[in-house]
Amino acid sequence: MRSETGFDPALYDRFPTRDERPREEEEDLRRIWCKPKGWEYLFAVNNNYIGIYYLGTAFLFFLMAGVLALLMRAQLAAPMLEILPQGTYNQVFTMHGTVMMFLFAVPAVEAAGVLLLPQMLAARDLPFPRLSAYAFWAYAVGGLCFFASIFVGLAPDGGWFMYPPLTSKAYSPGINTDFWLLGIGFIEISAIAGAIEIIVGVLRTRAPGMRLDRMPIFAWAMLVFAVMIVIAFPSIILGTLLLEIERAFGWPFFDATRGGDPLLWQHLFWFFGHPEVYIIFLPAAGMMSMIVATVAGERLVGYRLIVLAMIATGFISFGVWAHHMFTTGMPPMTTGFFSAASMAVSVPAGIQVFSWIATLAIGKPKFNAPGLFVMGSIVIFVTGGLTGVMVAMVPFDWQAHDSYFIVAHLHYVLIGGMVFPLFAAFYYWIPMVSKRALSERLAKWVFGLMFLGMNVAFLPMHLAGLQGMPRRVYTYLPGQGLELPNLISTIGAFMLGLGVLLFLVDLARNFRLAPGEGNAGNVYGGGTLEWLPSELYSTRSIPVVTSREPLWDDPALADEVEQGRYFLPRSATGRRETIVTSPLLAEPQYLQIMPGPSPWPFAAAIFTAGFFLALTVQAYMFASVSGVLAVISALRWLWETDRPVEIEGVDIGADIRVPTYVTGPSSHGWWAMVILLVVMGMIFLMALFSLAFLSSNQPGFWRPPPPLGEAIAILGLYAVAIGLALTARAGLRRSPFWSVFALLLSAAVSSAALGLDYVSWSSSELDPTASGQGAVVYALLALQACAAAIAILMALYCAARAARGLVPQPRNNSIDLAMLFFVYTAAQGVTGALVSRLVGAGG
Amino acid sequence: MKSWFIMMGGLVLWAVHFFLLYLLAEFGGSGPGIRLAASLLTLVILGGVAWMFVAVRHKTSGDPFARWRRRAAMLALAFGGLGIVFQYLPILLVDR
Repeated sequence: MRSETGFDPALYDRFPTRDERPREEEEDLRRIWCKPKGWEYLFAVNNNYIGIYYLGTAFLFFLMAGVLALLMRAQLAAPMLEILPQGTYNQVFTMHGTVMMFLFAVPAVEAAGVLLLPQMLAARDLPFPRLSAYAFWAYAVGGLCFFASIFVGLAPDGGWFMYPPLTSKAYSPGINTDFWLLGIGFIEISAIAGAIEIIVGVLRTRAPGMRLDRMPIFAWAMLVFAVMIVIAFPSIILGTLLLEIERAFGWPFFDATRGGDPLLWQHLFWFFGHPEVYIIFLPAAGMMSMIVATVAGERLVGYRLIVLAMIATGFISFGVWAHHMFTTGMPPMTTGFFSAASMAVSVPAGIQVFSWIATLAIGKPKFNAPGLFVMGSIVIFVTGGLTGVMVAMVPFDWQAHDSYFIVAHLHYVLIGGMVFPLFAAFYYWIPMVSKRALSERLAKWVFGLMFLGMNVAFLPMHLAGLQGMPRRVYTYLPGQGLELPNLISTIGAFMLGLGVLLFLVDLARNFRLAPGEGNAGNVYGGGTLEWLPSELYSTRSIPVVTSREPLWDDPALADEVEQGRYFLPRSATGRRETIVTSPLLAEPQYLQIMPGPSPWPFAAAIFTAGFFLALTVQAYMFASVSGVLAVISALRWLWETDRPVEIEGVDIGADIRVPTYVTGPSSHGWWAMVILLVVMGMIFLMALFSLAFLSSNQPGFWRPPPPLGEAIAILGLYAVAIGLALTARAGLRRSPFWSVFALLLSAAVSSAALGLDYVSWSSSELDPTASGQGAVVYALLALQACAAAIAILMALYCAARAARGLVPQPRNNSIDLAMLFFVYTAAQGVTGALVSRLVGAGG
Repeated sequence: MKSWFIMMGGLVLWAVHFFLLYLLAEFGGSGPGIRLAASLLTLVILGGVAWMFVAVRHKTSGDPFARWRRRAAMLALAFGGLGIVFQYLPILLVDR
């Protein structure tokens, strides 16, 4: 594979260029990527700001959830204490788990990606900076409001995995559960937005020459992480939607007395919930791999094996979800498959651990702050991994299930697999964003307290669990041998807390954030591109990458990049821009003109949060207004993008010319839309799984679906809708108005097909409140209605753009993306109409 | 997509095998036919792994990235093949 795009790799030999670059070029870059002032900080979209906001907010949630943990440990320090009332304790443990998993762990690693990836890939920014800003503000506002529910006694109290029937309206009548369902569903949307940004960013904005086999291991980790989010999170989005609909309208998805099944929730939750552990672990492992190599002063051993291990972890992690359900009475064969997969997943994790150990063994490891944390992490994570293999054994799991043994196991995995690597990353990368590095002297105390505290807190929990202490109890009786392990655990938890407090002191003393105003530099001697001198526009020029550790292999690189001797030493169009490269070999393809700061992503996030929060407190009018404003804000933000470009081709350095506007499968927008459609497809697929699951488990409640023949007209209409959508793209050559007309017609035909499907089902007298079958069938129709509504909105949006002359011929990205969405909508409609009539038809 | 499929073929086949086994066990009832179907499925998928392994092994190239991709693909196929055999063991070991 000599070239992926027809680009001649010999052109790379023109770099570094010899000519002096004019000083004004750098001034231009500074002006274009200027610092925000005053209120503009709210509207900043640059990754240097959004990454820091994101990481800071995630860390704030870590601290708040940590305080909740200390409250729990205080309550459990001795038997029969009454520090927290029982009901409050339920809220506290639910919020601790929920906040740590949803508001700290995933956002923290996503934030690290947003902050580090552009620097590491030498891109000016990620390809959708406004999407990053939206994802951050949605998460921050939604998360803070969600957390505030605990101060008014309205926090969810059903445990972080919210099993029905406990969380059904009958047993949880208050709005506490609704806070969880709507709040978390909403925050997951933010996570998906971030994931789309990361996938397209890693695959399309790498520095020229950074082939896949030269990509930093952290970028690989973030790529696998983001793909896993796209596959896993739709399941929880669907689950939360269904449970909320059951609570609000009485559709019995999870009510066994009416043909639903509470186990369906467990399947939907854990199909997301177990991969979530690896979603958290993989980016942290990526950070570890980067830091271990630097700390050891040695190239990472087994780069290819680590990449493979990460991808394998991603795959196998989707085959282990039901190991959380071993005690629910699943068929023995199914249990056996999940047990086998749960053991198998330890192999790729083991490959990574052995690689780190080998790198440290053959190098000369330094016991500095990041070094201590990575070594501590290996010890803790391996311990958690070993108990993980223990609980993968079904007979052992039956004994340990829902006991403190599991609490100990999951904390060893998560603290060893994510928290310690994150602290290592803080110490390692803070010199990249702060004027001063953190204190090495204090770091040793922080590490000592955290490492000892963690083990003192959680090691005795194994014992308490094996002695029979169930998790989630707010107290225990004296005389059961649980006093000593619990007291020790409490002491350990406060030691851990003290370590974190000391870290905060260090941050207060030394962390001096000043994006674009200099930093402490490459204190630990890393070899990857994030250590190039950078400002708000990232690096002065974008280097040609010829190895995995370019700064180790070419000591002159930093100077040459700083002198503008590589790609894009200036702004070619006078606007924010970055080079889009090909996904495998990173060959330059075109220049992306990037959107700048804007209030609209911020407004869209605020109103989206308002919509969900208002729904939670049943303020439906406010929710409607907020929802409409959110849509208007999002459309307004998009309105400024995808504009006709005056300059068709530009010189990006050394007389290499690329276009400034590309449509079709080469464009980054196309990629983002395809990923979004995968998300929607996964939501739909999980809904179809729900239908098949209930059909198989509740056959007594199943009514014969309408005959398949009734679907023929529906399929015909959807086929016409697909044809019209394809015509819209081709028809743009003729006229924008013809293209928009075809889109509008396609949306109308899709809606008509949906209407016909609805009439067919409603005439079969299937009631969504009467049975699980009715509930899922109408949920499928509702999902289709959402897609059809979005299609209509997109058609109107394209019509408005065409009316304003913003749809240039012969190709336009807005039309392309609408076409993709319309084809998907019709395909989803066809699948739904067929599958809903086929499932249970024989019974 | 071709490059991605070459690199991840072994893992894709593992996933296909796993989910088909799960669907058989979850929705296929508990009769003796399930074991036979699972065994046949495993054989077919292992055949796919072997075919891909041979095809990738013969795909030699002097280009460094193609070489890297080929080695990664062979590792993934080896790992996927072992995983498929391991995933099949419950069929032999579980009574019902």
